[in-house]
Amino acid sequence: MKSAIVVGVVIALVAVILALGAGDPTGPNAFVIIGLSQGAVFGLVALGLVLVYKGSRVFNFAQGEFGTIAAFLVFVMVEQKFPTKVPYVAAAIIAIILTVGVGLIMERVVVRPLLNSPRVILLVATIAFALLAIGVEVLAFLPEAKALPPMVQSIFGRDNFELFAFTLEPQRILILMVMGGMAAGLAYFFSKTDLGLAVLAISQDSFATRVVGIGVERMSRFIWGSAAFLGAVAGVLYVPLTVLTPGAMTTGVLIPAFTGAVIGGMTSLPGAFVGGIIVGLIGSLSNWAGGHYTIGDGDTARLLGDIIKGTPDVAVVVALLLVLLIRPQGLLGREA
Amino acid sequence: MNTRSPRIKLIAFVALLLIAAAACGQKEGVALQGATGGLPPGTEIVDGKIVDSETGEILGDADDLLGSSGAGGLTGASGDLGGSTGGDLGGSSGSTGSTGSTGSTGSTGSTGSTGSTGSTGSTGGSDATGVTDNSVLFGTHAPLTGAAPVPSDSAQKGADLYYRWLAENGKKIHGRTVDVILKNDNYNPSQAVAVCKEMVEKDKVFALAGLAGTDQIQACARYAASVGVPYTSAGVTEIGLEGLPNYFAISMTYAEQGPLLADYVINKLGGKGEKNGMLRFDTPNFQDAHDSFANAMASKGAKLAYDRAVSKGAGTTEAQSVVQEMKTAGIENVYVLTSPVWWLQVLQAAGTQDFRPQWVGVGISMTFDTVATVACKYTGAPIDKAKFFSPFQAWSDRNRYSPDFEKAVRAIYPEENNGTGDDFMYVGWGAGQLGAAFLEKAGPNLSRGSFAAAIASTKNLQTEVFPPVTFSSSDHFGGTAVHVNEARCSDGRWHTLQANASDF
Repeated sequence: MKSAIVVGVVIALVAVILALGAGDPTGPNAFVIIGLSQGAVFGLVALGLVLVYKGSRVFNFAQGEFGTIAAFLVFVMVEQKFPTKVPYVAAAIIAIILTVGVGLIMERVVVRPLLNSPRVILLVATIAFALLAIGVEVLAFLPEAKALPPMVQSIFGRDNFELFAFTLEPQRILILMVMGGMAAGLAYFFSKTDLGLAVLAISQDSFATRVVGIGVERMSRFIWGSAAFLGAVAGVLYVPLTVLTPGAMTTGVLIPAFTGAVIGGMTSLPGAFVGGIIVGLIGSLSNWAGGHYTIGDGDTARLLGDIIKGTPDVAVVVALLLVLLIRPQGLLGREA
Repeated sequence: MNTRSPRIKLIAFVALLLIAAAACGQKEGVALQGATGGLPPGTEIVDGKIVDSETGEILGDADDLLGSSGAGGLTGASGDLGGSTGGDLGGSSGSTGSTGSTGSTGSTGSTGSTGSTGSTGSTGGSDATGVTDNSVLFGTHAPLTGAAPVPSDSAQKGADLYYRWLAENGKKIHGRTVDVILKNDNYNPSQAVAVCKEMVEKDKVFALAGLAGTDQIQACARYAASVGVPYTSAGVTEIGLEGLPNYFAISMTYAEQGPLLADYVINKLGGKGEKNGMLRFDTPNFQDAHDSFANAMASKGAKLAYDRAVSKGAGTTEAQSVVQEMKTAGIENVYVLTSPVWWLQVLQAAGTQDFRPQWVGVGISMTFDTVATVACKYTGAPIDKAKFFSPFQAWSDRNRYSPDFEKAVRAIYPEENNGTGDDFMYVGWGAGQLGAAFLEKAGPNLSRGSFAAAIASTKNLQTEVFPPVTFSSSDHFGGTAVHVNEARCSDGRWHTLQANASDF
């Protein structure tokens, strides 16, 4: 019910903005679409963050690197044709599977030995893993920018979609569809299935969970493998829309995704979805405002974006502070 | 107590006055023009000696002028080579200096006058750290990781390629070979200072050089000034670098290139009747570049229709947003001054949105082939025909401008790209040619002071890769021309349209 209200409010706000900007080529409508499509990526990574948090109560700073690793694996198979040229979709599937393997190794080598340690130690361990991954990427691929072609060239029989003068490429439509599907699937999984409930139980009391016969180690493996899967999917889908560099998903996506997860509520998967979208929208619309509105007249007029440096970042931080002040558990989160 | 109080107040007042007076003496701007910058007008350095440019008369040793203790200059033949009061200040090793001494060989000059505007730091004068009888050690820094990375292997090999080529051919500079070390500044000014400090204090380099990255170059140059170490880089910003006695830009600064680029946009690209824009990172160090270009355009009746600064931390969202703004505004020519990685994100968005303006710009790392290669893969290859000013010609034209480059690569690093090297090595090769020329000019008695003075007296030095440079004692931004490079997606590389252009 609460989810429906929050989602309804977000949709209503978007509708109001679109209505106000209708017919104005310099209005915010195209930026709403930019925000939604970018927010979908943040939401996808935020889903993985929330999954780990629900299962182990730790922020996983390596979540972005699961995506970068998967993207580099695709790059190796598709662009470098190593060991042989692999069809794009097959390469993506192989990369996701291999990245899940990386997640499982991380769980076994880094996470499990620290399961009973203070959470802050586990948090630092995830940071160390992320830095290690970036270091390996630098060694293997050099710190040079690389590009991945889009996975899909057309969707629903069309090469692109024009919406409010903004061209939505098929890859972006694919991300929106995958993210929506995953959010719904995970919400069902955690509320309706035994395995999902077991994950939630682990997060609340691992000792009691063990007493009733649920293997904590098995659950931990499942959680980190799933997180790696979500991160890998995000990386494979998103990197073709940007530039592939070592640490690309960590430097470009992880922080907004974290912010989205906190705004949505670290314990809520629908919250991660909504939070990611909100962060994308705020960033994009504040960018539009920064370049659209001026303060002062004539020669002294200055763009808002020149007065408030880094307008999108400022706007997102303000939104985050407001949510934390008014509703610390996030829009859709529950009290721990 | 009552009787002592006024006395204490008086003593305190006098003490305050003394402190204030001392502080005034230490202020930047009160002291003598900095050591290196103080090369007398009408003179130049030849083999470590100061000579009159016209008569050829030897006026003294460069080290005498550039003494490490900030000593006053020569009292020259013409009388205006004067000494000074005060010395160079501001740098940690900059010293107070004394009233200018009488010159070593001057005949009619008077004792130096009180110094004019001072500058920060000193050049180290006769300090010959990093120099032995048979070698010189240079230190360089570059962003080997970060937002504008250059490949470490190529950068390292390029940095010493020319010097190794000289050694390979049995040539030494005044009996010395040159070694170069390269460290990663991570596209981060504070890390740049850290690695420069390490090279100065631990590795004991003779001089420093910055390969790329405006903020890093500025930060490291200022550090170098504070410890009296000569510093060279390709021209970037002038902010914070103007007046440093030992900083030398070996190509035109962004601010110098602004009017030139405006001429190019208007006269060569027909920008006067079109909508022109500028997209830049919101760093204070790009302000002079922005102002010079915007003012030049406005003075030619082509005021910018789009003028946007974005955060250095901008990502894909910002890239899409600015593309949308420019597309909506109908911008036809865009001067982009950002990091290459973010420009790639902009180009990605531009390709998707079918936005194909004429991209123009200046800079060092934008015209590396990596940028063109990656961007040409994007939808519609929006980088195609982009035209940028560069301090080095395109690597694809290397044999036209510097045929020995490939010979050197084949001889020294045959494994590098089948013996053809790459553009990072080509830049290093060009910088090496300049460095060697400066060392040659500084003479056998090499010191930081004589080296800096040699650069300061260089006139119209033409090497193969970099455009000609001309310095003076008051102008350390030595670039006089640019190369115009164009991106072509037919081969995913930059090509040189025009070399050594100084007007359009």
